[in-house]
Amino acid sequence: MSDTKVSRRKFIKYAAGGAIIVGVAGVGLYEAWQNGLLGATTKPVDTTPFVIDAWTSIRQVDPPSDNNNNAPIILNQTYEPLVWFDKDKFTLIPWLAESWKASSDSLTYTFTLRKGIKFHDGTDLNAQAVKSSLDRTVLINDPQSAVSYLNNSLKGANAYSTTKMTDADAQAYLSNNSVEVVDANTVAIHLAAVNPVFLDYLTVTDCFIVSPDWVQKNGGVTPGKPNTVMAQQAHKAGTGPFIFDSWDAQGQTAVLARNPNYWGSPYNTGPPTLGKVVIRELPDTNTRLLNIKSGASDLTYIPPDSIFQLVDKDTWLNQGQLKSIASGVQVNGTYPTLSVRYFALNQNVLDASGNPKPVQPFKNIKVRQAMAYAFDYAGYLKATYNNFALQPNGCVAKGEFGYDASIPAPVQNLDMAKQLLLSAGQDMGFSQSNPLNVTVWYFVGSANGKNATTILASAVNALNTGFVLTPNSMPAGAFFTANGNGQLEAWVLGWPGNFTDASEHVGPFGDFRRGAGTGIAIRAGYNNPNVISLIDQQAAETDSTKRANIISQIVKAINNDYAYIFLDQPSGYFTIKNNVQGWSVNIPTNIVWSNFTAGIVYLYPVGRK
Amino acid sequence: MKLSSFILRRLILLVFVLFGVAVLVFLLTRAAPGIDPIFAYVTPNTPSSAYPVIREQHHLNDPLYVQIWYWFWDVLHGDLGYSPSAGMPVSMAAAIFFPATAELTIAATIISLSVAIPLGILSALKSNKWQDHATRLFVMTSSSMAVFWLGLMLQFVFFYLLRVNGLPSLPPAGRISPDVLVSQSITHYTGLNVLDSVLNGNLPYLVDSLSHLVLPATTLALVSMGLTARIMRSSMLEVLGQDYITMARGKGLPERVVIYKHAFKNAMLPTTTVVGLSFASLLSGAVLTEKIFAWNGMGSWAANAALANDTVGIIGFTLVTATIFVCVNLVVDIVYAILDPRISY
Amino acid sequence: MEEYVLSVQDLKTKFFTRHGVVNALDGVNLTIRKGEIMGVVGETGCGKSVLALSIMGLVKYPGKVVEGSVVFRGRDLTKLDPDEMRKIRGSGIAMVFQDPLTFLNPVFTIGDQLSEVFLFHAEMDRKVVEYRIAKAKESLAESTNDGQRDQLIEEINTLERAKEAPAKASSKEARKAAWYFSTEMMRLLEISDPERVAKFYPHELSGGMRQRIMIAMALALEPDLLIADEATTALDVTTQAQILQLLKELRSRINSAILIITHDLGIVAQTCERVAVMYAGKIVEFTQTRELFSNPKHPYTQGLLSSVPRMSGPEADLEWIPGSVPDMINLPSGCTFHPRCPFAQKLCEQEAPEMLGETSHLVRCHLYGKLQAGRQAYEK
Repeated sequence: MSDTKVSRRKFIKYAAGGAIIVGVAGVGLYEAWQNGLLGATTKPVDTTPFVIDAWTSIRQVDPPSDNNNNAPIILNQTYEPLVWFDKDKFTLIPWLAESWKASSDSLTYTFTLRKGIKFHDGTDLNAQAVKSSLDRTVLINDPQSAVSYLNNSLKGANAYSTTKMTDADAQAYLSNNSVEVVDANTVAIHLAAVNPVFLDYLTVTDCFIVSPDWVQKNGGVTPGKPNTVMAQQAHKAGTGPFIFDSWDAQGQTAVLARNPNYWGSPYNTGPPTLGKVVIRELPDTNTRLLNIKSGASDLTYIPPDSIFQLVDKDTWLNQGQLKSIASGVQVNGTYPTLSVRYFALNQNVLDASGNPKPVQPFKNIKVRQAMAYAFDYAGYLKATYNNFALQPNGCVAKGEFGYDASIPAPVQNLDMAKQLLLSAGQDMGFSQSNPLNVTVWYFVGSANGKNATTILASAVNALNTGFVLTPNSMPAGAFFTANGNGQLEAWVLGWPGNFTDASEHVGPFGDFRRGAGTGIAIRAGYNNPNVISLIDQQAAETDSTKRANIISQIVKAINNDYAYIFLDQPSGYFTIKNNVQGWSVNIPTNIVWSNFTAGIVYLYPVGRK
Repeated sequence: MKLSSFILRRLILLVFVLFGVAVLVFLLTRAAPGIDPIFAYVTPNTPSSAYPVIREQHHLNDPLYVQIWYWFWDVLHGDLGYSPSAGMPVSMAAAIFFPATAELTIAATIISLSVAIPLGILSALKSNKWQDHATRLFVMTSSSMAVFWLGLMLQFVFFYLLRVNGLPSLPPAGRISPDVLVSQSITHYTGLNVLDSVLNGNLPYLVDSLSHLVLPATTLALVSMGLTARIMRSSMLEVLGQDYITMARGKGLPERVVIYKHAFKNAMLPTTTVVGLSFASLLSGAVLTEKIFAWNGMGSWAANAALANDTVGIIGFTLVTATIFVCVNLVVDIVYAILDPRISY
Repeated sequence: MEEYVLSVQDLKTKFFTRHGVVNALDGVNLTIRKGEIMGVVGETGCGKSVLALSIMGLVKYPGKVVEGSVVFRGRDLTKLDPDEMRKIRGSGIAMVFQDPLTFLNPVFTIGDQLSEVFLFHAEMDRKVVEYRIAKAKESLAESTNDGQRDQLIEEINTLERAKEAPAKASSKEARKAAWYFSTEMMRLLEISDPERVAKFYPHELSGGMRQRIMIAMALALEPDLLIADEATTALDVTTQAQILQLLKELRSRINSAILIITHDLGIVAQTCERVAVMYAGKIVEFTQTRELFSNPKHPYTQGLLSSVPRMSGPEADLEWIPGSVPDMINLPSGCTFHPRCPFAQKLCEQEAPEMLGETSHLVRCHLYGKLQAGRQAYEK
């Protein structure tokens, strides 16, 4: 889970649901895509509603303001971006764009749009629509969305985001013409600086293309303010396979209707077979379980602590296979998500007034290294996730561009840990008779945090070296405030990626210059100039091989500094009725809020047997 | 005093109550140690460079009294401020969440009263007999049951077991079935699905809405009826010992008239207070019940706002709740005056 | 042969409390003649109110009539089922209680509470016809138009005939008629503007008015017996006198017997023809009022009488009976009055006396039986 906002917002759900957030980061495509691909045009329309029991709230479903967990499940079926991920590999492919071309200085990308695509409201998709959509996201600048990616790349957008966002500021931004209409089907985007991941940015839901006509008739654009009309109502303003038909605000239920004029995506032709899709909010796991078991829903997500009501526990834990034990229901997976959970060891603990505290337990690398050796990785994964998670080999998630499988993951070695701590004790002056007490933190309701701190503390304390860890918790609000101010000695949190590029993780973990909001390094007092310079290098490197190499170096460097213990990368899966076929895991866009299975299943080719 | 001027006076009082509550809650949320109010407005995606802008935008750098003033300005403009956790202005959030809670509360109260009052009377009439013990046991058990367990059991029996055995079952959660939602469309006038479907004259929608109400309302009712039944029992017992009951019997009135006319109306006086208070607290949302039955009401809004440090949302919720309490108390007072002629406004 | 309205024989009422059994009534014998005003007098706690409630069958849990009979209209009331007993209450035996404020239901109007008596007892179909006749007669009295008068007379005649086999009246008509007779009843009790007063709630009336209302309720159905339990105690002296006067007048109009239960010998002297003195659940003396006052026999009665201040005669210290009402759970052995009796002998501790003397003056005291010799010696 993400560091600040989302964790706090959602922690009640963790507390109630068993506290494990697992989702699918659709790393490419599941093999069923190939097997189950349906000839959508030949199938008659399936009139029975396809029911998805979503497990978190559906509020604010507007691409520029999609700050909640289930907005993407609606947006991914109803809107489309210029480029999206290929179903097999992690490469980007043209989607609403037919092709694109980067200028020689890599500062301008020119997109040629597919012709003949219409929005659900009947208007044409054209260059003006693309410009309006992207500019709208920049102008609204909803700080809760992922708009900062766009701000970081579009010319003038970052400057605008630090203004008071008056009409004059908006005009100043628009005068940059950073999204330029070349002709009806050609749009050029001007960047502020070279950005090798700019195209990845376009896949986040903030960059989905929206009918400008519809927006104009429904609230328009007010700089700096979310469009509450769009955010609170259904809108027929996308190009996707389904139309956002209605939204029952009282019941928090969305109804999607088949788009009979769908252009067919790069992989298929014709409209979808499902006539209606109903997405309803059901936060209670037991209710979702009863529903899927009794056939009242078609697709849902059941967290790992309840999943053994649907799959055989022994088969999974011993053989790693998901064997269904509930009739008519299958559990599919697993897929790595893009979230990396870590145990930060703060090298520069600050006091309330922002000054470094006199005792810095983790400043000595031997102590940090000892922590990494003392931690029981396998025990943690089993206790916390029932093995529905991987052990990361560094800060980059498996599935991201730049992931280097050859980097070894750390293993527990208590002898090494003890030696290192004894040695560190001599340096720092702690011993069994003169112990050093250190508090390790998690926020109230975080089961992962509780498990990780307890497991580490019990291992370290058993070494009897005088280095004593005490797990402790704080309410989420106070936790994030103290954490943001660098006051926690050590803590457990997660960091999700918005798209499949390592920049989502190397920056936060390695770049000390980032602020506390988007940076972990500053909060952990981790400042390695070498790592920072490598991060700058990869950010300007347009050659992907070279860039991957630099990223690998960054990961190794951070690992060698033992700044963090990397705990887990949750695995995703989803629960679906047996008679459903053609499902696939959708391209993992904007999974900050939606790294949950149901959020990213792609429904277009789905049909029933 | 006349009823209208009584109501008017209380409503004027309400304004002051609301103002006091708002200032208090604002100060409490801001005075909470170690919580930076900016966390209501940011996510990990928010770059640090935007923090000063956000602080400026939401006046977080200003002194508290200035911040209250800005909030008050929003109130005067009718939308009560923007609640980031709900993703909408407070007025809109209240308009969406309150009807849901109101519908559930009304249904639960109807169920609760129609069970608790007769049980309380029975318990009092058969005081210390087996009927009394059985009633008290039932009431104690149901009201001390954990909501999540009770809710789950009701879902399991009345939805799952019935459904897998091919019998007609009750919907486990939500406010409307997918197929009804897809096939029927109604205009929402009040946000109360039952009332709206009646106003629209849509029978399938009405039946479906009612069936969705059964389990959550029963859960809430079972948990909240204990107090009502016990108050009813004790006040009935007290009233039955009163001289005017002896008098009524002495007049040779049939026992049913003695109990359901003479004793009942008097015994309803204390019960009305309790029912009013529990009605008001139910109206401010039942977090657990709303979660289990996916009923998006005041409770889930409040929980989300609190978890997100959403000051504006918390104040908004508190104001709505305070208004509910004042209004319900007003209604209770009026009902009181109707029930008891000795009380004047 | 004397005609008795009510005959109480050996009535025993016990309260089975947590602390022990209270013998509230310990074998009471009492007969009331038709149209007679009889008094029962005694200190607070002697059981006189329990006597009234036992007759009415209104003894509350944990009390119970355990023995004896209450014969009214030839039937033993203690053996009637609750519904039959209910029918007798109000119409056969009615009761006026001590405190009209607590005995009137605070949340219903006077008219409502009065009407009930009619609604649940009287033949309302017939009453409705009577109501119509009364209304028609009122119109007749006011009417000056001859044609209309004839019409009204015709209507009254038709209604008079219909009285024998009245048509089923609607509940609305019944309520209207009951309300009408209620106000008539209030008029009888000399309440001015009864139509207006009927709409009042009990707390809006004075004590005297409330007591009149209670009496109106009790007399509404012209019962054979009216029990007035401390009916005037809470009232000031003037009102008390008015009410007693009213009771006397009504007795002669309706010909009800009245049982006045009081601790006030003055009231007894003013109103009653015969009087029973109660002590600790037993009647200790029973005779004509005149006889009792001129020739009290029981030491307790003597004590009671001498504790009444007198304005005439020689000035003397007010006498009182030493001690207090005995603990009803642990009653003294023998004569229950012996611990307080100035004449108590050994025998009084050992043996409970029977009722002695002639029927016209019964007394429960050894002084008039086994200890007669001693008494006579003492008197000399």
